[in-house]
Amino acid sequence: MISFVLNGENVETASLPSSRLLDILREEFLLTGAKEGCGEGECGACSVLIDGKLANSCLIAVGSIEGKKVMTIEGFSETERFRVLSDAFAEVGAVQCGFCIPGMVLASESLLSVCAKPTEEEIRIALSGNLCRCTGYELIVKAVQLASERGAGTVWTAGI
Amino acid sequence: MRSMSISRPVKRKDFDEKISGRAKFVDDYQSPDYYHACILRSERPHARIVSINIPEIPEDTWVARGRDVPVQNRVLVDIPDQFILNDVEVEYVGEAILIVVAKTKAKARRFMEQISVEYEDLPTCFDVTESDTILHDCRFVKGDPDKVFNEAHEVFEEVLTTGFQEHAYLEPQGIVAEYRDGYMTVCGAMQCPFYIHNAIKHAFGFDDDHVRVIQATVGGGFGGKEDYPSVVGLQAALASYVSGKPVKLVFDRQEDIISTTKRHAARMIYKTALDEEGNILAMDVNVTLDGGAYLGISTTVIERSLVHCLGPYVVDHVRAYGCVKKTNQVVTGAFRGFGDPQTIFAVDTHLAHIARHLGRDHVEYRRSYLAQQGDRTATDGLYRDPVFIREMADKVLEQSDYYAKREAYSKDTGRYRRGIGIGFLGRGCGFAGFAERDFVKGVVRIRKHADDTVEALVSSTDMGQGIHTSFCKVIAETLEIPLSQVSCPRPDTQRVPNSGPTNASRSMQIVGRMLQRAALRLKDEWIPGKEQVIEEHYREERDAVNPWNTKTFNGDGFATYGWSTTVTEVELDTVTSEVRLVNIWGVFDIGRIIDRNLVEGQMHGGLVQGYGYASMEKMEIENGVIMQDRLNNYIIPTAYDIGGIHVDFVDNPYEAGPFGAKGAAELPFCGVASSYVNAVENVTQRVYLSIPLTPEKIFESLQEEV
Repeated sequence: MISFVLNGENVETASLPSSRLLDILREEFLLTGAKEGCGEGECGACSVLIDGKLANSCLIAVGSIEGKKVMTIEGFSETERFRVLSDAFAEVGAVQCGFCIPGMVLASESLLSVCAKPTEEEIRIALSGNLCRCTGYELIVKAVQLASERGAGTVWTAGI
Repeated sequence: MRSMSISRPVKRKDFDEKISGRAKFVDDYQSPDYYHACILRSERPHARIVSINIPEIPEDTWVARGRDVPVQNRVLVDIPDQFILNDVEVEYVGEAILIVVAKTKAKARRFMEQISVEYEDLPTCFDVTESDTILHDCRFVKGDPDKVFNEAHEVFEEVLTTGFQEHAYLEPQGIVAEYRDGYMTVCGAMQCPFYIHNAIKHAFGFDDDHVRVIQATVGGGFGGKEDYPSVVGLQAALASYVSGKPVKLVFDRQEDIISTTKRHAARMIYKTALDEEGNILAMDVNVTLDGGAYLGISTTVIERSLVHCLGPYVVDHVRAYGCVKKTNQVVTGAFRGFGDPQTIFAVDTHLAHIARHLGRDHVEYRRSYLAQQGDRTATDGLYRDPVFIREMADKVLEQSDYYAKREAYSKDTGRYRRGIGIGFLGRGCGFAGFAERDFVKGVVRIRKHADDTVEALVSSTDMGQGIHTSFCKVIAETLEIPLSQVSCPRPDTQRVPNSGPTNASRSMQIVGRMLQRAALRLKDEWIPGKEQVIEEHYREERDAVNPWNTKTFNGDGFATYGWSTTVTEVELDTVTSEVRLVNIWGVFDIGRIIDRNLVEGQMHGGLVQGYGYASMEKMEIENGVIMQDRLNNYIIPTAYDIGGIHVDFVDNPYEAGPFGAKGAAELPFCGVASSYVNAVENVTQRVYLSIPLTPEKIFESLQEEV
């Protein structure tokens, strides 16, 4: 059995240690917010946070997360930080097809949690592992800037 | 100003479910009852299949073949030419041969890997210039080009080429199908539910009521989910038909790239007759598109290429010929722009090159040929609506500080050198000619429930562009009721009428207009607390000035036109030849904006996709095998590849569109390539005739003397 913390709850899986975390999340725990866009760590649609750091769950063997904390979009969407990001994404119109968006939100959180007031270039670098084909990224970058303006010092405090 | 309030942005209707990861894309549909399908694909570009060796089929596993299709083993979109499954003579690498169905994807794959195919290779063709199979051709003449060419002072000739392009929607293709009690239900990633509905009826011999097609949330389309989901849908349907199980067929990325349609690679010969002063007298245009192994929907694509062969420019004498040729490569199909990005790149670049050849300023030279209201189109139609492309050019030149930057950058001497370029385009909105009236015959329905909530029932799909939210806005604004009272569900062919496919930037202009008319009627007939249904059918609202003739290619190709101009600012690293996109400006005429946020999102996305097409999205096919078959070698722009994007609009309400709106979503894509090439040329002082203009090509060009 492999034990880890999933969205704040202790869970176990009997799957093979070599199974992809993405498959375990989607098929065993029925958390389908993480998507398979490429299956090789290029697109970021399968992004999750592992101990607060952004990871492509399609490249993570479930055996390697024993004892770690995994946060998916389903768990993150219960948080205050999500609400600040979500409001900003809504206000600027940063969502189109939505396939990349759970990953984009988690990539934004992973940046803001270590750097509450990033520059535009820092945002672009932080999002560069998450592909989007609809938006041209412009409004996603604006949304992260807006979320930072509103949340820096309150929900995100690092690096201020 | 009530009519402008429609442009104020709203939160899109599907926002909450998308941002929280709750939206269900096809692969998110899960059930313990599902079986999974895998497709065995051809490894040869052209071969007769001598034999297929299938080991004993285990229990709870099925193999579906083309001969299992009850009526016709063909995919009907425009014409029934491609096979659902082909185990006789394969025409390209990746063509589907058979399907394996098993309880899990892993089991299906394991069994599939035990199947061996014996091929007998047949002659192949991978180059349109060597292909002698013309799948479709068309031509037109305006004025008297023969006479003008004979009398010309000079003929300036160029051959311009564009590459294949992969849609790279983030969500791969997929369909779930269930055949039960004589009824076939399919659900999944698609732009055009009634295309699939029609294709299943054709192949299986079912009537309307026994086929049901439902759109799942779609993770991007760009044309890639216009025609191809009919193939996927038929394959999933057949898998369920043979196994009697509900079957999920979802491609992984590599399978998606090698088997689904691409943008047509094009080879375009432009010959321009000039007089002594360098004035353009006539043009001769010859376009060849690479159709791949089957015609598919390429007939309409080449026609669109040809009709737009002058882009936004006016030339009185034109001779144009276009053809789609067969090669033993993946099939090409619908992709944002649908044939005109190729010719728009070519004509705009060609005119800039003529100016360079004449020693004239390329901006002023091109500007002097831009269309004005009352001018004639390439096919002798009339630009009847106001045309503001010259004013838009002034606007974008000013906003980008174009001339000052061009002057300043011309003095750059360091390792990093900047350049700035411009492109112009005009293109028809919606379908050509009388297609809406004669073929699509779209229908919409509005249902008012007893609680006075209103539903828009249409077959148009929201694949991210936000059209369902925009439709709700049009209805709410017309009825003067809150937006929260109006909804637009994802289409289910059992519930919605056929309002036509979701393509050609037609949805708002055509379907939105029908919804507006339906809403106006409902407003008149509104009875509180009562259920009411209003149906509207397409009708031509304006008489054509010069009615389109499909045989001669003469007349008003389109009801109206969209316009844009794009300025691109780049920085070239002269050591590595890498180019950075510093800024891109676009000014657009899309009539009136229905939702500022949604429209800006379309413009940004189109500009960046167009930048990828122009610069980095290289797809090479060697001996029929796609070299860039993953997202780690087929490179699309990331957030870090893009500098600032600046978009602006002119307000030019279209009288036959809802609140003045007309086609929008394809427009931003189509004008980037010529602008980008122009910018790089202004840095390197070289001439480029081909896209994608990659660092490798720039590097080679810098090895040559100017």
